[in-house]
Amino acid sequence: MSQAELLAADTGLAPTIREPRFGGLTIFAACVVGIMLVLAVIGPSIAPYNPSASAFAQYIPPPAIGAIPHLLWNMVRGVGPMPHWFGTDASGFDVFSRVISAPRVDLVIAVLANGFALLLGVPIGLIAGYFRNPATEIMMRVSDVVQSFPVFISAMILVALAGQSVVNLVIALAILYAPIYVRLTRSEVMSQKVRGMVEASRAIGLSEMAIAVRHVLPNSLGPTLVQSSVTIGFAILLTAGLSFVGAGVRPPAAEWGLMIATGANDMVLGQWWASVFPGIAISLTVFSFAVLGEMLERHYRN
Amino acid sequence: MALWRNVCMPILGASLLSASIGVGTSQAAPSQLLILTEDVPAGLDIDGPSIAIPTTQEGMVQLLEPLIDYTPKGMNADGVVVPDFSRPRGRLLESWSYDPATLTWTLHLRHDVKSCAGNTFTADDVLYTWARAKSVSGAVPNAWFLLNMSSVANFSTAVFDKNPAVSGPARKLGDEITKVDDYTIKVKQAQPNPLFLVNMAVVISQGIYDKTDMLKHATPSDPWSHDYANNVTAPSFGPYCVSKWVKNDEMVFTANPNYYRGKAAINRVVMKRVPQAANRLVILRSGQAQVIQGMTAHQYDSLKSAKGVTVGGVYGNEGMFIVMNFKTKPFDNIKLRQAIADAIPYSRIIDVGYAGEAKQWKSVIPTTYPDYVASDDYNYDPDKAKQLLAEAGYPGGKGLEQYADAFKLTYVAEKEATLGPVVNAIRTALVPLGIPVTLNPMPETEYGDHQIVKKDLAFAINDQEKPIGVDAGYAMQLFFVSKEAGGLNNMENYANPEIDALWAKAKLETDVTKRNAELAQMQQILMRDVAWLPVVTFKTQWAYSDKLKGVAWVPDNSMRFYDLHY
Repeated sequence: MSQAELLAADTGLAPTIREPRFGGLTIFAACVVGIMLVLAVIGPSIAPYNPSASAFAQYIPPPAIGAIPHLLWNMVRGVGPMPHWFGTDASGFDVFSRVISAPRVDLVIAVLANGFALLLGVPIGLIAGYFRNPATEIMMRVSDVVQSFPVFISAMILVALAGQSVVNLVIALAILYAPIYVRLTRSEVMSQKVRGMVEASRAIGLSEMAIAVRHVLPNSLGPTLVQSSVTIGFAILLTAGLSFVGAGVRPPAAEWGLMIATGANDMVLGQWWASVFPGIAISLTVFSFAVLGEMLERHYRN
Repeated sequence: MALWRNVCMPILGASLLSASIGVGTSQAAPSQLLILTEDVPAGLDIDGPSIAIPTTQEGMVQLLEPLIDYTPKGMNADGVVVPDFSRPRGRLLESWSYDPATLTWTLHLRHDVKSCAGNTFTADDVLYTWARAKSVSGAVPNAWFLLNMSSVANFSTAVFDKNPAVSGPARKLGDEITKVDDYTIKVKQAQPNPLFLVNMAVVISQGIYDKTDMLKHATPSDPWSHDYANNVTAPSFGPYCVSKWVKNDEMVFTANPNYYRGKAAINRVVMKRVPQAANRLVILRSGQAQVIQGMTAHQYDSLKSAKGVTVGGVYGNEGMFIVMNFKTKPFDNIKLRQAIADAIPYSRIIDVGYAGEAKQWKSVIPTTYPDYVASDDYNYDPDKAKQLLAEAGYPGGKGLEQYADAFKLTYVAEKEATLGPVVNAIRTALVPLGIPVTLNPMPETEYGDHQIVKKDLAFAINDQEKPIGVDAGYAMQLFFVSKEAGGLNNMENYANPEIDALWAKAKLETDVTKRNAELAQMQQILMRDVAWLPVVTFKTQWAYSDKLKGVAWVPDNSMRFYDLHY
């Protein structure tokens, strides 16, 4: 019997915490994330066309569904030019090649930004939660101020001030997401520091810093790591959003947000494919990271 | 697709417009017109800070009346009326004459002309306008520049002297322009210069102000009423008056009831800001707006088959060129410049960037201007480009990697939809030759600062500079003559004593044949040195309701509302 079911049996209440179930949705999300991670490594190498070079054939629509088997057969036999599976855009770029190459930019930015946010936020959260004094209170208020601004606007301002580059984008996102980890870690540390293991560690003569780092921190990282999955998803979305408004990745880099922005003008002409395919890719990726985060959170709570 | 075009787009258009300006879904009345633009005028002063912005100019030309313009030649294949540059006609001038012995123009002004405020036009209005130009009291000495370029006596650079004892008197109108009577003026030139008449047609620089109305709004701190002219209206004798102006939103023009050529057929014109090109397109197709502009070539192309919409255009004076700064290495190497010129895929750019509505540009002068001379020096020839690259000292592009920063191809980020395909085509063609091109989109204001003020754009695409004065010499003084010799917008820092000397000679040449030969020689030198790398000359286009007639093109590329009728 699971923990939740035992609790329900004791209290007579229906279980509010369910065991994590690795159902179809989770498997689907894990597959999507896995594919995106693989594409981040090999995407540009397996793309049928150079994702940043014009094929000088613009606005070619994706092949009709009925034509796909024939095109696949030709591809297997090595007959004819490689099809433009997702069509081409206004510049003659192959949309399929760009969609599968984009994870290298989007995922790298998101993962690095999240990593730096962790490196920045967790130590501050640990100090603020374990050593409570006026200095740590000031740290928390600073963190509150950063969090009080809308993330998108703040990111735009930071990138505008620092200059438009991938490195600055990573730094800006890391600064903006660090307060989430500060608050999460602090709250977990505060609940851990009153536990018996801390008293026991003091009794055997460990220093406060040693107790914080060796015992409290490892026990406080669960929610933080769960949050990582969600943050990476949001970072992908934010990167794409910034590129959409021209404040993120520069053309002609293959990046989903940039692709949507470039194709948006042509939507009214009925040329939907340049925007819709990268849009689907973003939606699937962000959704999958969110599902995995939800799954990890349930797992942690149990 | 048909469902999307015929049902969804009109509904979306109606919703967009209703949401943005709160109008109903009824069609515009025959005496009204709604034109959707990227922006509305930011200011209206001839010497104001926003004079270079096309939508600002579009607002100004509806209000300001010029001394002369050009007689219409007829309609082109698109149904757009085009001017005959060989036949200037009087607007505020009834006639004019020139005495070469005394270098004096005599201008006879039109009678019975009234401004929006009801004031009668006289010689005092012209004198006031030129005295204001000479005061160089505005943000930009735009009006002064054209009079200086026209060699009007005493309109010299002394107005900018740091010593007030020199600049003070130089800024006051003297006897170079005199009033003979209320309807006659005499203008003296320092040297013979045929640009005088050409420049009088440039309404955004030489439109005539209503002196009485301007003086009414003068203040001790602003005696030339720059604030009034820039932020309220440009009081003049033109066909329209401003009746409402909400900056960044809309400008409403009402026909001037006193206009001497007769009241405009369309009484009320609303110029509405709709920044997204796609939204403008949808609203036009829904029938809520009558004119749109600033679309990509492909959007115009798609509108050609739309019901109730006409796309009209003209090969006027717009072109796209590449700037390579002579002060930035390695662009001081002429062979490298020529190699790049031979590596540009001109016909692919015409297809990808302009939907076929462009032609390879073979000079630095607009193709429609008198004295245009085509050069066949450069065509897409990658083998020749490789050979020239080797001759330049960079075989296979070796050695160019150290100049990676110089090869950032800069363009206006707001024009991504138009210029994105072009810069990608250029990059795709140059990179395989070993030329390390990267893209550098830059906000328009920043681009303008680097182009006009700092002049430090190393490698850039430009599609917005055009000479409004219809003369090859005008264009070359504006863009290629060195700063020391009077060049104003020499963004590429080109300095060639040969060009300066030829222009000094051609500027004063009264023999048309000799002058044409000198201007042709200048064009050949500029093309040899790739002073600009002209890529394509493209159509200036508008899309409008098929009920609208009378669309005409003028060299400032701003549609004249007065010419329009249903």
